[in-house]
Amino acid sequence: MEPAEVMARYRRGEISRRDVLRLLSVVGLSSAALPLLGREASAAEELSMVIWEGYADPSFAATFEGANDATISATPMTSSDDAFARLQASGGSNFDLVSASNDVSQRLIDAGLVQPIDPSRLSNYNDLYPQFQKPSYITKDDQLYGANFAWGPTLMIYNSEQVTEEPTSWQALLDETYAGKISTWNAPIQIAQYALLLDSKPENPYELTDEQLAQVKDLLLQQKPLIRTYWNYGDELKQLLASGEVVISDAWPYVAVGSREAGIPVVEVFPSEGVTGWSDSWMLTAGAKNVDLAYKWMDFMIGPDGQMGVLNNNNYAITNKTVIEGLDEQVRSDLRMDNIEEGYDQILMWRNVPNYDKWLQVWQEATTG
Amino acid sequence: MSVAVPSPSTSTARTAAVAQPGIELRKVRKSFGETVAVDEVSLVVGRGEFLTLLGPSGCGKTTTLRMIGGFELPTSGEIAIDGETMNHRPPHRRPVNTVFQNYALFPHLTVAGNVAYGLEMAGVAKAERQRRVADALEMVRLPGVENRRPSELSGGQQQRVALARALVNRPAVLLLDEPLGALDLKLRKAMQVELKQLNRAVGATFVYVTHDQEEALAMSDRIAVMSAGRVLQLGTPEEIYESPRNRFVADFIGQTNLLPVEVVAIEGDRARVRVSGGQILTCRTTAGAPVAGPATLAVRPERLHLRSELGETGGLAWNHLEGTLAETIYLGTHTQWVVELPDGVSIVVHRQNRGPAERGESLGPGEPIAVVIDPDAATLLAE
Amino acid sequence: MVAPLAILLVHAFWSVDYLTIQRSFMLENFRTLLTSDLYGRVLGRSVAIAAVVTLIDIVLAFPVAYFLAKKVRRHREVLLLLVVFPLWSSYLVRVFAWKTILGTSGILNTFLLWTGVIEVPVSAFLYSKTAMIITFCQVWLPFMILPLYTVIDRMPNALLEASADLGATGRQTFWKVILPLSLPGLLAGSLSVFSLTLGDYITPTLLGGPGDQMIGRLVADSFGMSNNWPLGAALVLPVLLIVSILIWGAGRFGALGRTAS
Repeated sequence: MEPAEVMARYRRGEISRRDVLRLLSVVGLSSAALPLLGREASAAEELSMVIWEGYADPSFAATFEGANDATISATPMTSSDDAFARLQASGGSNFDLVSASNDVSQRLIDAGLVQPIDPSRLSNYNDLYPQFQKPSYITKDDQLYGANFAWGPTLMIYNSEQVTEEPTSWQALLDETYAGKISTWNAPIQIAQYALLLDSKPENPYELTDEQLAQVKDLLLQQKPLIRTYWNYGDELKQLLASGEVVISDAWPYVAVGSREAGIPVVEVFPSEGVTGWSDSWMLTAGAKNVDLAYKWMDFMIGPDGQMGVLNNNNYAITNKTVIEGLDEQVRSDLRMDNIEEGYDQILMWRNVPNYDKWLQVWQEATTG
Repeated sequence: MSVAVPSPSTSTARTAAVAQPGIELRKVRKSFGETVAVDEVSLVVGRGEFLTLLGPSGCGKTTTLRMIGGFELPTSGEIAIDGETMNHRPPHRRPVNTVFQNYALFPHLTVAGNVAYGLEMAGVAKAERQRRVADALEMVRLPGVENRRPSELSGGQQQRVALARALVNRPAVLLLDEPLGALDLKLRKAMQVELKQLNRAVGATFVYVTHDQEEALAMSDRIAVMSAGRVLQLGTPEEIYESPRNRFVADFIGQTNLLPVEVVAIEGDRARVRVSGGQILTCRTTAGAPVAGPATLAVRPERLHLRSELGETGGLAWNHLEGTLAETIYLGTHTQWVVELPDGVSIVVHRQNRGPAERGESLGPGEPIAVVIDPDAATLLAE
Repeated sequence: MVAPLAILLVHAFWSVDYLTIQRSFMLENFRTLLTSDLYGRVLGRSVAIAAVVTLIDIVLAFPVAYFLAKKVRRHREVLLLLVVFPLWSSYLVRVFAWKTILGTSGILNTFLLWTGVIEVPVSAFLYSKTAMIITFCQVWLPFMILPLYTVIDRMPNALLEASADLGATGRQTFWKVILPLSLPGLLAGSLSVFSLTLGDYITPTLLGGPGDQMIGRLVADSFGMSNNWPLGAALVLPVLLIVSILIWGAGRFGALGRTAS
């Protein structure tokens, strides 16, 4: 192969820098090529991503790093909007990857902050359940924009020592009994969760009339004096539970798992009104620099190592059929993976909210003012 | 209790009235850690007197002043003003006002604000305040500057404002801490006269601190010469000048000839001493001076005469020293004649220049010359 | 330095439509600001908290600055270092430290329980305006102490002695001499503390309770979560205005550069 061809393939993103070095060294040009490759010619490449907490946990990420001689630089997001804002600020070039939830994925696509992916480059792609292969939230104009790898509910969790009566309804988060010890996630999308408490029981809690929005706002205002503080990061909630400041809240499974590991008796509940939930996909940013390494990561995360990692670390449901079928029955049942179609549909998944700016306003006015 | 004894030659104007003590210091001592700044000072200042504390830097004069003002508290001893013990009273409750070295005028107040400050603190009504401020400024010859700021005034003007600010309160005691140091010579001389006049006019006791002995001599009713925390001599300017009690005082004030001598005989208040060259002189002796053995003879250069000008018939010609003329130095008002005595000791004579005709015969260096000494003008020092 | 501010100002007159910023001049944002009571309330709250913190810091800093400037001779450098020392640690670390101290099971509550002053832990120490004010006061205190110290240090002792000499008690000397002459330092310090508090959003986020948010958070949200840059820019304008007025006022009283002699 000619050096020129090597450089051309590199520029097209078909081969990585390390491949270039390897190829060129055969021709004896490696040292000369280093300056041509621009930036750092260090052996370890860096993959940067903005993610939900727990998605780059060393327990499974280290395997990837070792195998690919790479380091992962992960920035956690407080909410989907946070991730969106970060990407928009740089036009989608300050990170290579984002673990986008289904409330923001379409917005990312519309804003041109992510690029389509080529599933043929993902060796584990065909192991995914069909419904995760090309779901609507990461598809546009028949092009696929992400690798759907995890999903789950936003549950209610509580400290079983402090909360003696098992709560069964979301109403518990507005219960005076726990005044001053309640928390809730500080994200406008939570309006959907509180919409489940409305008398009018909207079919789609993501499409609310102005009146329904106003009613939810009332609920939030009712709740405000009972709130200890609104949590932004899962780790923050874990601390609040550990120190006893908060005894009941909505949260994701990994918070409960982590608390139990730390010795705090935290229990999860699926309230009777139903739960909202999310489905996360790895999306490749428009200005990604390490495209090849990014693909490797995406492949890893929908493959057995990554999937098991996410499952064990976060207690999230996963998307790889082969892996799921190899799981313990109890685990599958707990995480609603024994019947993917039904379990998945039980959760009122996030979706793009048409009048999101109104939701923002309501949330801000209710929680900040 | 030390009382100033008026010396016969002084005018009554310069005599201190000590009938009622204005300020009394009894064995006042001040030490800062290991250092003793004021070492058992006792003195009495008469009401209305102008007393100067005179000495070199570090002699304790400023510390003493500050203790009277209340800015330092004595380590031991007592301070009384007008009969009342002041020991632990803070400055704002003493009948004392101070003119500080750098004036310490309040930069954020006008002249009127500054001068009226003490009156305000005393609760004087506004109309009266204005009147008294105007009067005070008149008194220091600075009328009409009420609305200016200190920064707009010259050094001399600021100094007067500082004076006015202190005097407007009609204090029993006015303390002045080297207030004229920053002024030029002419202004300083003028202010010395003014301060003296103010002292008369106002009737307050003035305690003045300076290292300038001319200033002290010019203004004071009495001077306390201090060194190393002690008062070495307290007396009127004449007493200090004419009859210095020890070497330091003699040396510090004006110029003195200090001759090493040996006491031969004492007769009452007269002594006969042998100068090292062997010549015998008659002089005065003071309390505390050695009665035998080595001593120091002090005589002012201007009290010495050259025999040539007195003639053999001069009544004092018998009390003289023979020596050789070393040099003459013309200094405008007077000429210095430096005479070398046989054993190498020099004696300096000041002769006032009364015009070319009176300069006398010109003697050249190396020529023999005799210096005549008035026995009353030469003192044996006590030290 | 002017360019970013200018860009910010221009943004205030635009609006956002779904994802993109509509770059046409309009006053929509200002209408929103004026009609919605949320922003007025939060701005008012922010100004009030900034004012309270500034006043408290003045009261706390004065004795310290005076003591350091006038009463300490020997170990002055060491003590000054101690004043500045907290600034070496990250601001975030100090805020978190207060979280630890003020929490329900934090040091303060534990101590009060142990001494018997209270019987149940006080939850109002944290996630409240109290927590925010305490933290602000402590964190910004060096910025008040240092300018005050500088200005008091330069004050000649003779002035204080003169005041006493003329019959003023300690208290009178303070009000009539020390305070007026320390005004430049006071204003400089106040300007710092007020501005820093007004625009802060980390402390309210970490230590404030629901309903304690300050204007900084709203601005941050606009540029972040809400993704409404124009509104955020418009929100910033009142803050800029307030601080500008303060700077002008401080300059007029000699806090910036003119020496008080």
